[in-house]
Amino acid sequence: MLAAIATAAHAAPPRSEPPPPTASPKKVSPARRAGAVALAVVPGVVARGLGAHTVGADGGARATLITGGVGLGLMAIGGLPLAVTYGSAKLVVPGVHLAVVGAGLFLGSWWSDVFAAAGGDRLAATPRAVPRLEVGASLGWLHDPFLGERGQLGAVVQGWRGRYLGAASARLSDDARDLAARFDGAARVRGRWRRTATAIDVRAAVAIERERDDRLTVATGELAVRGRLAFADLDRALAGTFLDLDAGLGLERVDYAVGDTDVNGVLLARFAWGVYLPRRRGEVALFYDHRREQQVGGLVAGRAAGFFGSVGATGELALSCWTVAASVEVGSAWLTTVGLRRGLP
Amino acid sequence: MINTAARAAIIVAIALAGCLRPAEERAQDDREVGAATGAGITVEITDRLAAIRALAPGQLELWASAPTIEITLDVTDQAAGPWRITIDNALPDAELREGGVAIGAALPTLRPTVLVRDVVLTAGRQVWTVGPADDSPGRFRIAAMADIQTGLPKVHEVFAAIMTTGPRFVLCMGDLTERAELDEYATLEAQLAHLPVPFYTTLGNHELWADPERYRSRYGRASHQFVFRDVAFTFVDSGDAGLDPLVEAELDGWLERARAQTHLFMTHFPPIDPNAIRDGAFRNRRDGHRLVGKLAAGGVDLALYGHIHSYAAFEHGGIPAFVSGGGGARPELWDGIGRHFLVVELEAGQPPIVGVRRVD
Repeated sequence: MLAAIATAAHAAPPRSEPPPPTASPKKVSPARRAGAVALAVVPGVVARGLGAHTVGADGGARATLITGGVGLGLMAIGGLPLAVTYGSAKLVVPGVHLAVVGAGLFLGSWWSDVFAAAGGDRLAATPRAVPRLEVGASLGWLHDPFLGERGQLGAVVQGWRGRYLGAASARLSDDARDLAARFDGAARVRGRWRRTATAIDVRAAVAIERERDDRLTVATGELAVRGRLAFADLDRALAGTFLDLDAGLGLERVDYAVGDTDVNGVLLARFAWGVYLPRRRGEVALFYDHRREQQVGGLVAGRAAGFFGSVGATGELALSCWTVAASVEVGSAWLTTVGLRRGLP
Repeated sequence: MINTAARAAIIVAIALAGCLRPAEERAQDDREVGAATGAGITVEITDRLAAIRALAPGQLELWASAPTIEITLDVTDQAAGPWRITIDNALPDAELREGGVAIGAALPTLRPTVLVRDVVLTAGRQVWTVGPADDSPGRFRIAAMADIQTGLPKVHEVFAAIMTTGPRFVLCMGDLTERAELDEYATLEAQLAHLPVPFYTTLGNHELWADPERYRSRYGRASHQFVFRDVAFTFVDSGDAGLDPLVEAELDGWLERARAQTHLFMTHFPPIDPNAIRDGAFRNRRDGHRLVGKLAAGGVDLALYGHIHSYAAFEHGGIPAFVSGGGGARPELWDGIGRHFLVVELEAGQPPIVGVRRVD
């Protein structure tokens, strides 16, 4: 699926890179634009592309219709058999992956249509180049029903070498009860290196966390495919928006203070929809992450408790060689993080 | 426009933050079970191991959540006199005793799990027990099941199959109903009439589709512990795919109390799905790991779960664990099982022996 998106994106002119779009193709009155946004939001959730069509961006309307349709189809292909078999263990992979990726395409195309209807392309927001090497620090605040309030101090170093990305990060809670380290590696198999544009990465990670209050040590290994679709590569009217999709599997090893070690599978499925900031200043995004073994766990979802992962928002603002990053993630707990990275020559 | 959006975002954020403990109120309400004042008497059930279904002049009705319960009555002068005491969900050989001596005049009942006694209350404090004459250690058998839901109209078939195995009582890991409707609870009551042994249970997520008071007023606490023949049985409420910190703190005490005993642990959601990538389990896997770690440290001998409409035998933290969600709810397909229940052989000091029986 990710390969198909990237192939389609690359078949089109590489509009996710300079020159940036500078203006909407047509002059649209404020009233018409307001109407387009309303149409994109309400009937647009099912009649995909209504917003872009109303402002005369038929290409954008077609693109969101197709991506939304593909998303709906994947949700059905992945989700319906799971629903019919009442969660058959035999269908979890790739059923959940397809459902989450499909939901990402379905919702992402909707929000891109709203963005196009609002004339978001006038922001002339485009992907940016990221530094070859960055170091940074972060402060986090975890609000957890069991652990209470916890501050977290983090550090990260990340860099590119050719098509390969590597990162190492560590985190320590303010009471020194929780210590975590993580190592990420990725290879860009499609797309330009060191760019936040359309791309496909194959990524792997190992992480280890020691939680002293819970007397647990959890080590995790992950292997996944991560893709980004800059919607500008589908149509200029959608410029400025992007969709991230991530799907894979992992294993975790859990060591308890007493008792045998457990090894469990981990399903990795995530999507994020976002917009680039003007003048290549970064991006902001909303995301859904299906995994539930990370700090915040899954949403308290009422009758659907136990089915969903977490939701949140991320943002990055690049200021010369500094990048300010922030995120909020909500599941069974809240995690708010603010960080600062500096690009090195 | 921006102000409106910001206000909406703040409201949503506050709502989300406030929803991190969906079971908190339920956990607090659980502690109010088994205590009531009315008709001139004050009733308190030790460890809240019974629901007070009725307290009216001359009439006290309880639903027992354990084989043996202790009832403390403070009777005013005005309330002294003849009372009819009804204990539902009692062991067939249970007796009402005061100071070890059977009291009251027995009345005939339609079901062996209902004990009715006419007693004459005197003013002052009285402490009674309801339970079998012999609760000393020895081998016994129980059955365990979960996830009845839409199978309620036919669950008497499961009960009939269970009774062929000769259990002392039945444990249920929740999801008694599909939508917690009143008529479903009425059907369950009618179906339990087919079961000649007690039915001890916790709630599942489907009992939360309507006011959980419907469950609590009928079956009492969703989180509780009892001991029978020196084997400890602990139920906890995981109906929202996790435990509330209040419940977890209470569990810490129960684990400590039962450390030296053979100990069975029951809850609706498995902390970790035996097919972990499916995550039909706690909403936060870290909470699941913490629970498993506590169970292992507490020396739990067997963990029983529901929620997943299938059967699985596995281990977590070295503890034998079973998912048995075959009480009649829409089954998981292609798992080769269908309606089923567990049969558990128990004896204090011995590891439990678990078998599975199909109904269909």
